[in-house]
Amino acid sequence: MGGARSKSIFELLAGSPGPVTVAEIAAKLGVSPRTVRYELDDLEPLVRRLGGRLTRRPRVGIAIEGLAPESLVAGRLQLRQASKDSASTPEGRQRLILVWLLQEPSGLTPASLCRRLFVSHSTLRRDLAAVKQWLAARNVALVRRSSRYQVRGTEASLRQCLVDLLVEATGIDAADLADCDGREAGIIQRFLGLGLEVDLETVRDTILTHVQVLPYSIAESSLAGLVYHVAVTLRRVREGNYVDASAPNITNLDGTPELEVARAICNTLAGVFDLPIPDGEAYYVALHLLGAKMRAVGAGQDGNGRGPADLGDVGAAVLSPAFVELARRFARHAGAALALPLENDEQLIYGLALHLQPAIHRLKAGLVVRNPLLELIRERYALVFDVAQRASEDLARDVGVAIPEEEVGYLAAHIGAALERTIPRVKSIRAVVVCGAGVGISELLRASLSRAVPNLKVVGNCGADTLAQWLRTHPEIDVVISTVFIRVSGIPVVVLSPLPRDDELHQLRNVVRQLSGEGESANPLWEALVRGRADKRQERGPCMLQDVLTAESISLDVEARDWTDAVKAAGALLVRCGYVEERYVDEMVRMVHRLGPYMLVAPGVALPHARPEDGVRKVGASMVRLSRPVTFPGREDNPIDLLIAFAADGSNYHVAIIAEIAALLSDARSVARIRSARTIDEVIDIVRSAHGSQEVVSEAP
Amino acid sequence: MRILVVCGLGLGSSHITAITVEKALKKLGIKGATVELSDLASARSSPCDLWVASTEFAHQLRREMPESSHCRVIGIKSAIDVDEVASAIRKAIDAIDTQT
Repeated sequence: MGGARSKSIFELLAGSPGPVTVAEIAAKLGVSPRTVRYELDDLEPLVRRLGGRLTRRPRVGIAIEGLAPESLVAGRLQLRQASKDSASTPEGRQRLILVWLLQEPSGLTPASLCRRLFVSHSTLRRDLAAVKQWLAARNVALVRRSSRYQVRGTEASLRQCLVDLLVEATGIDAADLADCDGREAGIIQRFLGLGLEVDLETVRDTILTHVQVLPYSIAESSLAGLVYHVAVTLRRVREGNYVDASAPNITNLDGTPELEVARAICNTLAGVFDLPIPDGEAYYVALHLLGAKMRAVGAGQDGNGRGPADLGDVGAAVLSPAFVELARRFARHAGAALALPLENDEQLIYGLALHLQPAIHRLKAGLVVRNPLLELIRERYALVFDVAQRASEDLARDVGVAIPEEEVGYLAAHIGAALERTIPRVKSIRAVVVCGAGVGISELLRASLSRAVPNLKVVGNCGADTLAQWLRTHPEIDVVISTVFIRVSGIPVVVLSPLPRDDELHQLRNVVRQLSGEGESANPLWEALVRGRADKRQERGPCMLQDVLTAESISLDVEARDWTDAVKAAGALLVRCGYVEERYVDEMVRMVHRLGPYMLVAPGVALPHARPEDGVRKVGASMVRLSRPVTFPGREDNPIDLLIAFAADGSNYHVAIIAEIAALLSDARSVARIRSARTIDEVIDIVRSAHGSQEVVSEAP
Repeated sequence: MRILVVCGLGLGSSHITAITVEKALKKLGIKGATVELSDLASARSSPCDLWVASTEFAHQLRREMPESSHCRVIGIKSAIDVDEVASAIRKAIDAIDTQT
């Protein structure tokens, strides 16, 4: 069925007050009349299934008749879905079911649902399970009473469902309602059951007129939602469904400017629609006004360039002190968990209070909030989310209502934003990008860097061989970023792959942060706290020395007849741990023969190794302490009793490990302690503590 | 100033030497000098200001160079001894200065 064309025809017919001729349709769509007739044939079963008729009268035209407003939306939904994947999808059916159930207070039998949808009972069961989940997320239950499926929920929850369906059906979420074309508006109006003499623009204009007295402006995106809520309110009131104005604590809204504005909106609309609107509805509208404000002011962007600095004034104008206190307590609880004085962050307090005031009202009134960002917040601010959840438990006790995860997500976002603010605006760090040849790769790197590290300014690029010369004419350079191994005296170097991995960029950010002095003013735990990455080891690379030098790869007081024996003992450990293949061991011995014992790096210490292509499986290291020292040919002056063999894979990880070995060896005390250690565990502890005392970023000055 | 650290494979000990050379330069207050890794073969043909190598490689390098360049080759016993490397670099720079 369908496709984009039949959707267009359906919309054309549904949005038109009278019949339309085939010729008119053909002209509008730019296709032949024959094509239109074929499409109409395809459309007919859908219209019938929706409970209507597609009538074709000669010389009069085509019309869709007998369709309930909900079915119009449902049809549109199904065709929209169909135009996406040209199949009747479960999503389309589920939305249809939702529309029908919300329209029919007495419910529907499974048989009638199957008939309307042309599906089997087992398909219906699956669809109903999804529908149940969708409704449950909005605090509405799907129940079966005397073989009929019904929806059960508070009036406010049911309205939320209608608004959500409307937003899904029209796709007009953030867009300006005034921009939607006539067909779209026609469908929305029929769905809402509003008379043809009024339209959504009246609702919109009424709201806009009255909210002007509020000390903040409402974002266009919030306005669309507000218009839908008010429009749905009108429809429900017309059908005799009212919100429960006696919900506990809803009277907290008394005296707020929002309630006054909401009353004014309701009065005006009652006149326009000739519909008596109970005062309880004004409370409902006021809640949504507060919600819209929370998004406008809380986000710090209200479209008028009003900055966070004004938040205090705006907040003071609308906030009750009780909520400011509640917010402060929440911030204190969260701050205690994060070891940060969050309760002193006035911007956070106002933001939280602005959020909590309507949120608590909503929760007490049984209104469900939707948080489309929940998953994102959980993922990006994992630790902060945990903290917010714990603080929410205290909050829940304070206000006597459970705080659902959706709300916790918003609260976590506020805390996350507060933590982000602790990062001061920093000066830009000037970098030069170095690669082997000087062009190409460094250009590539340059592009990805500017995205990944905002305050990094790449001043130029050059080849490794000319870098020293280049630096003489560019004394302003703060950091060298290189794709090849290079060290520069007095300037930190960060070595990156041409297409940097996350952990490499993380290291670069650390260096840039240190250089720009952020490390001193910001909480050092910031990255871990905000990003929730404290527990992810790979942030500092998958293997550090302490990860590869383990009980399996260390051997103490080994008896070795000569240096070959000793190297082989160290090699055997590499093989045992799966770092290398057998042949690597022989290659290590051959390297000493071929190149001389240049691997004797320090008094008594040798660093046997071969090349990555000699059988390296993964980066690793082993340590052998000899009971008696051995000497290497040509270096009889330096008897060796400690061998650290390693397997290098040519990546930056092995450079990082070698840097750690260097740090370990240059600490004479650590080396002496390794020599006198009684157990392997002791050695492991020494390696670990040597790492701990070392700078995380070894390239930094 | 461009410094090449020479080793057999460019994998292990030369990294450690390079780290030590950088520390030595810092100690000497020399800023903006670059330290790169090189194997023996390409080290001979790369124009640079100083070569740093283990004593045995330093011998090899000197053998293939004109007498006047010998002072630019620094042979070191320990790859982790910053003081040794720093004084060797100091000596080499002084020698180059008196040449020119």
